[in-house]
Order: sequence, then C-alpha cells, then structure tokens
Amino acid sequence: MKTFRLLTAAVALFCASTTYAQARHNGFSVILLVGDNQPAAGGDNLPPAPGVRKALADVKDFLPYKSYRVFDTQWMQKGSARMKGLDEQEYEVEITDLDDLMPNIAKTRPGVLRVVFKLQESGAASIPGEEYARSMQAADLEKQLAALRANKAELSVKYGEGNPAVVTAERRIADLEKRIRAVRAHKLIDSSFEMGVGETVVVGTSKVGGGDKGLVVLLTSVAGK
Amino acid sequence: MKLKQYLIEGDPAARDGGLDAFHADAMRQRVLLEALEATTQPAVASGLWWLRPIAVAGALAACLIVAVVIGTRINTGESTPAYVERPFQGRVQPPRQLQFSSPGGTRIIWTFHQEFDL
Repeated sequence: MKTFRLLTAAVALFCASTTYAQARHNGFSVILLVGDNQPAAGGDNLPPAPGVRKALADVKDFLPYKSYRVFDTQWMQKGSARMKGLDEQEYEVEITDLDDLMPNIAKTRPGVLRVVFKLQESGAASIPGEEYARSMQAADLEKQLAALRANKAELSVKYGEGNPAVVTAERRIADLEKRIRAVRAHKLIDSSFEMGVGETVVVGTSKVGGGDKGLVVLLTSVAGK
Repeated sequence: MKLKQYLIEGDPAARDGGLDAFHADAMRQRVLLEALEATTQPAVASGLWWLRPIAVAGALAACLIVAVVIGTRINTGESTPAYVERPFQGRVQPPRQLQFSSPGGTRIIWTFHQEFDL
C-alpha cells in the first residue's frame, strides 16, 4: 500500500511538472536574417528586442558576416509556416516538440524543450532519391531559359522595350525562373536540440567555408505570462 | 574311323537333298546383284573425296577465329566497367552540422551546405 502511494505521488509530481513547464512556454519567435560579408548601406533593420540583439552580438565573432538584414519574422506555435526571403524566395519552417511525439521518453529537465527545427526552400524534394531527377530537370529548364533570354534580346532589339512580344517573353522568363527555383529547392536545416524557455538559439546555414552570405534564424522560445 | 562314321550318321544335312535348280539360281542372282551394288558405291564416294580436307580446313579456321576473338577480348584491358557511375551533380553530399556555444551563452547550430546559394 505504501509503495502504491509513493508511485501515485511520483506520477502526480511528474504530471504537474510537465504541465507547469508546458504552461510556461507560449510559442516561438522566428526571425529570418541574411548575413552578408558586405557592410549594410543604410544600417541594419534588426528588431529592438534585447534578447535578439544580445544573441547576435554573441555570435558576431564566430560568424564571418559584417551585416545582418531581416527578411521575415514569424510568431508560431509548433507546426509549420512559410517565410519570405530574398527575391521572392519562400522558405518553409517547421518546429516540432519531441516531447509531444515521445512524451514518456527520457525528458531531461522540466522547462526544457526538445525541439526539431527544419528549414527548407519551398518545394524541396521530400524523398532523397528525387534529387538526381530534379537536377536533370533543372538542367533542361536552364537550357530553355537561355534560349528564351536570347529570343527576348532579339525581340528587344527588333521592336524595342515595352513591345507586347517583349513583355510576353519577359513574363515567360520570370515563370521559368520560378520553376527552376522550385526544382532546385533544397532542404537547408534539419536540427534537433534542447532549448530553455526564453532562450534564443542561432540556427544558420551557409556554403562550406562560409560563402559571401548565410541564412540565419534566430529562434526564441517565448515564455507565457 | 568310328568317330567319322558317327559324325556322318549324326549330320542332319547329310540327308538333305539341297536347293532345287530354281532356288539355287535365284540365290545366285541375288548374290551377284549385291556384289554389283557393293562395287559401284566406292565410285560415288571417290567422286567427293576432295570435300573431306576442305571440311577439316573449315573447322580449323573456325576454331582459329574463335580463339583470336576471345584472346583480344581478354587482353585489351579495356573491358567495360561493371557499373556506370552517375554524373557528379547527381550525388548529393549530406550537409555537415556544427553545434557550439558562444562565451555569452548563446548556442549556435550551423549547417554547411555544398549547394547552398543565396
């Protein structure tokens, strides 16, 4: 009987702590930035939130970028959302709480979230084996684009800019560029980590070696009131 | 003498009168005919005697051709590979990931992509 009481108390304590931890977490603030090797011309457009500023100040020495510019910001619960990037590039963000998927398996500490964060360009392949077929398709579309650009240049010389034929060619070029972007879409980030409520984690991606630009996400787990 | 007498007496053909003239003649004709046919066949075969060395030479030539073809296949060193490699762009290398903390306590989780382009 005594053992049964102890077990009941332990289960109640576990449930209470879990509920308390979940109640304190209200959602995620996601800020999508681009880090650039060139200094910003007109100053940065970073949000004034001190947590965000502090996180960027902390990582500045570790990342090779001289300026940061905000593409999009999003407030979200767990799940997925779309965010806008450079040149109308769209990104899909997905946040999963591992404790929702496996609530009874080895939760480390109360108040700590186990997060799976994914970021991909919109339309990215869902199956790894699809990549090869997509690269072949992209090569074909690139050829079509080159031919279309040459055609548009000829039309511009012949009829001048603003001619309906030229405008039509421009529209077809824009459509084709959009299709190529979708075919070349990649999965960029797939990370799992723990984060405390109120903590900001810097998640990013770049070419091997840093590249000229990098995509940076400031992910903050926001505490509820 | 006695033995010889016994043999003569015991011979079943001794009392046989033998073939009559008609059957003997028919048998003789038959033997002569077979003998005649046997002598004409070698003449036909001797007409094709030159085919035999040609057939042997043909078989030897065929063996030689097969041997040369097999030899060239084995010794060229240009045998086709067992598989054809896919073009380089088809192979997607998995991204590398780095996780660390800054002295200020902010954690950085960075993914390096070979094909990242912004």
